[in-house]
Amino acid sequence: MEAGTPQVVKLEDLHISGQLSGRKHILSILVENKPGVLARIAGLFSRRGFNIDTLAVGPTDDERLSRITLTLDGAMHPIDQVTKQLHKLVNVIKIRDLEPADTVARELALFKISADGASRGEVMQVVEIFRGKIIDVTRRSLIVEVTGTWEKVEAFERMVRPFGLVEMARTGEIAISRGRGET
Amino acid sequence: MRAADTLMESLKAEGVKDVFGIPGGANLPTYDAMVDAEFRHVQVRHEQGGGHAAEGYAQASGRVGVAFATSGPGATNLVTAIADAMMDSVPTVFITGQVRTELIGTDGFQEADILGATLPFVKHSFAVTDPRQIPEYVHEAFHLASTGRPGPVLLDIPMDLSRADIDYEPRTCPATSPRPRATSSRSGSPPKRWRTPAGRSSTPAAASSTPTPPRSCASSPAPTASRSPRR
Amino acid sequence: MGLGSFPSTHEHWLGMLGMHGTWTANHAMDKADLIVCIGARFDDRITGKLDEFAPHAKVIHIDIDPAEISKNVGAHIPIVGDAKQVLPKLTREYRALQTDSSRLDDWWNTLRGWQDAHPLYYEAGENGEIKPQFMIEAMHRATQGDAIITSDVGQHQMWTAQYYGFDKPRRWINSGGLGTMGFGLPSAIGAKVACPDEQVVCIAGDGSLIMNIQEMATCVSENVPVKVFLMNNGYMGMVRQWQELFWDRRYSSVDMGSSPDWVKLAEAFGAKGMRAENSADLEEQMVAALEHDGPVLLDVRVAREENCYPMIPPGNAARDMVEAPRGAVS
Repeated sequence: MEAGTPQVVKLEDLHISGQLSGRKHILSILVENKPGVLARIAGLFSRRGFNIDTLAVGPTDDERLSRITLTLDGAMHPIDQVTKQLHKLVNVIKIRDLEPADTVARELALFKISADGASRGEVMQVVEIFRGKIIDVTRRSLIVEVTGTWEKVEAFERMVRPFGLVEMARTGEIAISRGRGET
Repeated sequence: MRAADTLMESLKAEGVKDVFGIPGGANLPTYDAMVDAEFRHVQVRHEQGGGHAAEGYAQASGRVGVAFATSGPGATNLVTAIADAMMDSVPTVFITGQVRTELIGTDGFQEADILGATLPFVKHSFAVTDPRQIPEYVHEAFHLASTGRPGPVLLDIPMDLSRADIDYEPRTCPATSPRPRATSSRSGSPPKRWRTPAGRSSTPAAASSTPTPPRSCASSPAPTASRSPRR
Repeated sequence: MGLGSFPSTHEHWLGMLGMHGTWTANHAMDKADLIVCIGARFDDRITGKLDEFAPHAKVIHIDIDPAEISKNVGAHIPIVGDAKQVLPKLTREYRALQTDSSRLDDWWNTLRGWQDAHPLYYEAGENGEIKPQFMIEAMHRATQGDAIITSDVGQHQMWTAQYYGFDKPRRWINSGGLGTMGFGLPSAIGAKVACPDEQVVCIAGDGSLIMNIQEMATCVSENVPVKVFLMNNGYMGMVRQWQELFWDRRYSSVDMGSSPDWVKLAEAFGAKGMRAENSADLEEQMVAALEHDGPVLLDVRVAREENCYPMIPPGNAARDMVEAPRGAVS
C-alpha cells in the first residue's frame, strides 16, 4: 500500500479481547538438549507466577533436541504471555499450543491399590473396564498400570479410591499433533 | 594458544575497548592473558562496582559493557548488577571464573553456582565445558547482549579450561557496531591521559563518525581444534 | 529512563510521567483517548493503579519485545519492531495524511492551562539554606544542561528527573527498573571511561553513596575524573518520606547521622573534597568542582526533611496526585 493511502479505523471500533482462554492448554516445546534448559523453563514459570499442572520431558529423534510437554490452566494464566515469555529463552526452539481437536494426548499412571482376597476380584473388574494392566501383586495389594487421556486416568482414580488407594504416580501428558505434519 | 588468550582475541574481535573487573584465583589465566591484551582494564574495588561500571559504560555509549569477576564471592557480588542490567535492558557481558572442572559440584573453595543463581536475571548464559567453545560463546554472547531487546549475558569459564591450549582462527568482524553518541565540545581541562597500550588514542573513536553497518560473518572460518585440550 | 530522548526544551514536552512526574503529564495520560507507547513497558511507577490507568485511551504499543506488548496494559494496535525502523515509516504515513494540526487546539489549551496552574513547585530556602530542588537547578546551570548525569536511587533521583532538563539521549543514566542504591558512582566511572571528553556527574544521596564509596579509589588510581555531587540531608530520604506520609512519621532506621565526614573521606581516597552549605555559593562551587582536574566529591548540605512532590501515592491513580503544599504566598 502506498504511503498516504487512508484506511480509516475509528478509535471507538478498537477493542481488546480477553486474555484468559478458560481452558486447559497443552504446550509442546522443542528445546535444545543442553544442561540447565529445564531449570530455565521451570524458573521462568515460577518467577512469572505461572503454575505448571504437569510436565514431561524426553528425547526426540534428533539428539540435539528434547521435547517438553507441559499443561497449564488457561483460566488462570494468559496463555499468550506464557508463550511469548517462553520464546525469549534462547534454548527454546519451537512452541506449539496444541489444539485439543487436532491433538492426541496420553499419560501413564501407576496405582498401588490395597486389595485382599475379598476385594481383589472387584478391583480386577474395574481394571479390565479401563483396559489397565496389573503389573504387580502381593497378598494385600495390587499395582495397576493405566494409560490414556488425562480424563481417563482421573476417572480410574475416582473408581479405585473406595477400595483403598495406597499411592499413585502419574507422568503427566505427552502429546502429538494428528495428521502427517510435524507437531 | 591458551584458551585465555583466545578469549582476549575474541573480545578484541568484538570491538571491545574497555573492561572492568577484579582478578581472583579462578580467573588468573584470564588476567594473565589480559596483561598483553589491547583493550583497557579498569581495576575496580568491588565486583558490584565493576558490574555497574559496565552498565554505565553501555548506557552512555551504546556499546556492550564488559565486567570480569572470579568464582564464588566474586561472581555472587555481580548478581545485583546483572539483575539491574536485565531490568533496564542494558547490553552487558559478564565473564566469571569458575573452579576447576573436577571440583564443580563438590563445594570447592570459592565455588558458587553462578549460572544457577543468575538464571532469572540473564538474557542467556553459557557454561564453558570445552575450551574450544570460548570463541563461539563470546561471539554469541555479544550478539545476544546487543541485538533485539538488549540484556546481560553471563559466560562462566572454569580455570583449568582457560589454561588449555587450543587452535584459534580469529573472526574478522564484530557482532556489534558502535553507535553514534550525542556529543558536544566541552571547555575546561583536557581529559587526563591514563596509561594506554601503545597505538591507542584517548578520544573515543565513534565521536563524530557514522556507524559502521554490521557485516555478515557467514564467511568467517569457524575455529578448528585439532588437539584435545591439555590438562 | 527515556528522559532526553525527546528534548525537554521542546514546546510539546509535558514532563516526566508517573509517581513523581508532572501534574500535566499524568493528567494528560488520564484524559487521553489515544496513547502511542514507543519502547516503554507501562511499569507500575508509571501507571499507578492499573485498572484506573488511562481509562479512556486506546493504546498503540510499539516495542522490540513482543512479550511486553499487552503484558501490563492491553494494546489495541500492537507493533513489534525496532523503533528506529518503525518510526520513520509511521512518520511518512502520518505526513502523507496532511492533517490539520489546529484540530488539537482545544486540547493544547487545556494542557497549557494545566501547566500554568500546576507547575513543579517548592518553597524557596531561607537564610542561605539549600533546598534540594535548588541544588538540581544549580547543577543544570553549572553544567549548562549538557553533562552526562548518573544518579543513585531516591529523592535526589526524582528531583533530578524533574528539575534537570535533559535534551539529548544517553545523558541520563539510571538504575530505573531495579532501583539499585549504590549505582551512581560506579556507573559514572563506566560512563566517563566510555566518554572521556564529556562532563560526567554523579548525583547521589548520602544513603546511596556510602554503598559503593570504595569506587572513589578506582577514580583516583585509574584517573577517571568523575564529579560526585552529594545531596546530603542525613537521611535515606525517600524511605523517610514514605514513613512520614504513610507510617505516621514513625521514622525507622532512616537517620544516617553525620557520619562520615565526606570531605575527609574523599581526601582519604586521594580525591578532592568540597563542602557547600550556602545557596549563594553553590553554583560557583559546582563550577569549581567541574573545572578541577581530577575526581571531586562535593558534599552539599540540603534541607533535611523536604518531600518530593508531586506524588501519586502507591496504589492510586493519576488523578489522585498530591501536589506540594503551598505556603502563604503562592
